[in-house]
Amino acid sequence: MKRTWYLLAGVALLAVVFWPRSPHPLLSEIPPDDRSLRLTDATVTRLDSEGKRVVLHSEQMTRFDDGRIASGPFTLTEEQGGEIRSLSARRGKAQGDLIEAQGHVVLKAGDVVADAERAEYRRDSALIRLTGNVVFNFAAPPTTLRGPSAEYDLNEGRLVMAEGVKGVMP
Amino acid sequence: MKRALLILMLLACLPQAWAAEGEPPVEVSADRLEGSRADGVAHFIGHVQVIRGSQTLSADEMWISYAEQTRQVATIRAVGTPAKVVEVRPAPAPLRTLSADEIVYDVAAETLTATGNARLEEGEDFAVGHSIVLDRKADSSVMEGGGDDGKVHMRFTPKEGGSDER
Repeated sequence: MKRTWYLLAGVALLAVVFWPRSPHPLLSEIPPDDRSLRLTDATVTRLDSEGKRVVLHSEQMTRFDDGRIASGPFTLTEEQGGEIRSLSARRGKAQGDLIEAQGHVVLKAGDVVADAERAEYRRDSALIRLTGNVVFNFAAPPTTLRGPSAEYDLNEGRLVMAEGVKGVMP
Repeated sequence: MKRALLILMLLACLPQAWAAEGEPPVEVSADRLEGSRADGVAHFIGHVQVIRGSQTLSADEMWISYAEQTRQVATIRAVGTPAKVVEVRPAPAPLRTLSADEIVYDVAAETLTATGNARLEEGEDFAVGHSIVLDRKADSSVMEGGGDDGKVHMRFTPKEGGSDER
């Protein structure tokens, strides 16, 4: 009888140790039919090839197997030469160095703050194209520029508003 | 002649409006803007219009240069066919107009320089020459002759019962 109990106890221990556990909550969200990774309230930090610190924070983010990222409300922050740059929007898509943002896009770079309805940001060339009710605000001298579109070179500080511009200066 | 000089003196008020404190903000519009923070220049292209209070500048192109240290506006250069500054004054005063191929306002020096077919108008009165420099600090105006004869041409109309020294 004792032997039987020892045997049952051993089986129970083995069952506890090797019983298949439920997967990690994040991994459990991977649908079986696509190999995407879905993250909630996620922050991804990395150093790019130029040593630039890049932080992506998003309330909802999906990273597909081919490297594409689709995002809900997000903020992308870069540190470049002591200057903090950030791009935020309600939705975003990224593939490689191209980031597309939509919905209340806000760009902050040094003393420049811009907002628009859409943006395409090429990280490799530091060039951002803003479209839809674009507003640029410069701190010094205080200047507001409005137009339907704008291209801004974040490294060179070069701005082109090719489809018309209206500005207000003190 | 005194009245003619008075016209020039009055027109010396033009740069004051650009520099005076408490003035309304400057509103700029154009077809295109190319600006460079590194170069400190904003280049407005096509149907450029600048409105400040009662004054309107219209030009084909305009460059605003910023001082490197202070990032404040250093110079405003406008070119056109012609570039024109129009000041609307309370009635019954007539419009006051300065036009030229190029108009440059130097903020620090407080000078307004109109070059190439420079023309000042105030109602029926006018002064025409190659260039006009309005110096706010010195409260003076210098006009150089131009055209075929190389002279300054002016016209002024003494008002009946009035004085040339008004």
